[in-house]
Amino acid sequence: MDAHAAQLLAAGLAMGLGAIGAGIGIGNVSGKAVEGISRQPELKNDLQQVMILGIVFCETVAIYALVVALILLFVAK
Amino acid sequence: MHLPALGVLMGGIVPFFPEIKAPPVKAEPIFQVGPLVVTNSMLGSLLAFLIILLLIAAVSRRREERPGRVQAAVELFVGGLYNFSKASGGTVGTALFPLFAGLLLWLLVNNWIALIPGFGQVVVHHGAEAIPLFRAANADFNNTLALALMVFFLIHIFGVRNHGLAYFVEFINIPALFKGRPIDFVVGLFHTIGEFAKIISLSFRLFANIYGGEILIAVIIGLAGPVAVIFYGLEVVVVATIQAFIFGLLALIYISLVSEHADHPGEHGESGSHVPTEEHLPT
Repeated sequence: MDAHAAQLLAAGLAMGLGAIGAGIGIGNVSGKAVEGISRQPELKNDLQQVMILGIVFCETVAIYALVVALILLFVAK
Repeated sequence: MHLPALGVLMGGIVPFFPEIKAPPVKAEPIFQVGPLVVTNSMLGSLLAFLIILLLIAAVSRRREERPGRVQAAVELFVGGLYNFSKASGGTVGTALFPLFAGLLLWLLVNNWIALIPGFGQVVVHHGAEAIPLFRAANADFNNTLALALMVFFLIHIFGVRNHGLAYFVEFINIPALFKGRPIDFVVGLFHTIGEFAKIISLSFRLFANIYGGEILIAVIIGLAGPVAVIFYGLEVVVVATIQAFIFGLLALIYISLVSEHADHPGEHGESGSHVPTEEHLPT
């Protein structure tokens, strides 16, 4: 395997593996938010805001993975 | 018949559909004014400014006591933003409303005009190659980095304004060294790293989502033709909206967190209040 192939493979792996954790996190957050809203619909607005924030912070992990993948693809020689 | 084949079939019906390519990571320069190289993403953001200015001019020129349909819609939108900012910004919610609404509106228009079909198909010819005249401003990392840096400095300016120089105790905790609590000093160093991670996460979140949307559209068009892109395009529109909203919301929340009046800004966590503090939020 030459260096460029390894680079491409690493970029794919970084993004794919990084997305697993973020995906689980986002699923957990939104699932629990749905549970909370169905239990107390009058809190919908508050819960929604907290849910969006939680999703954003989970997503950050995937974004770090994406940064690594982009560096591997476009910057690293 | 599986879906991509159907898409190609339907795509074949639409004639003269221009070829859509994924934009390169770097924005391409269009022309140069002195030392300033004007890229297509800068032109895109100027277009967004122009659209916002025209909207504001059009709406504010004909203000009436009994609002018409357009005025009512705009009032509903701005009023909703105001209430939201007041509710989630804590003590400084109303003061931060212009920042929040401004960021949100600008990012929203920027993200949306880039999704209008034909936006990226206006080209200028530089020699042999054709360069798109406009590009989604947030698909250029320079733009999102500038916004993130602005928010970063605003956070710390507000922190110093509210707590004075004692604000920096949270990051470089020299008093803890004298009190014999070196752990607190190390924790402060981690907070410092966390602050700089805010720049990375804020800028890359916006950039990656918008740039990812551009690539997604190009890939789907290449795979399944222009009709299939409608379904994915809906998702891209939702993402563009949410990301604009989230950037403004995060700026609002970060700034409101450092503006909470605590007696000891370095010891948020021990004050016993259940107001979410800086320490409890990751970047």
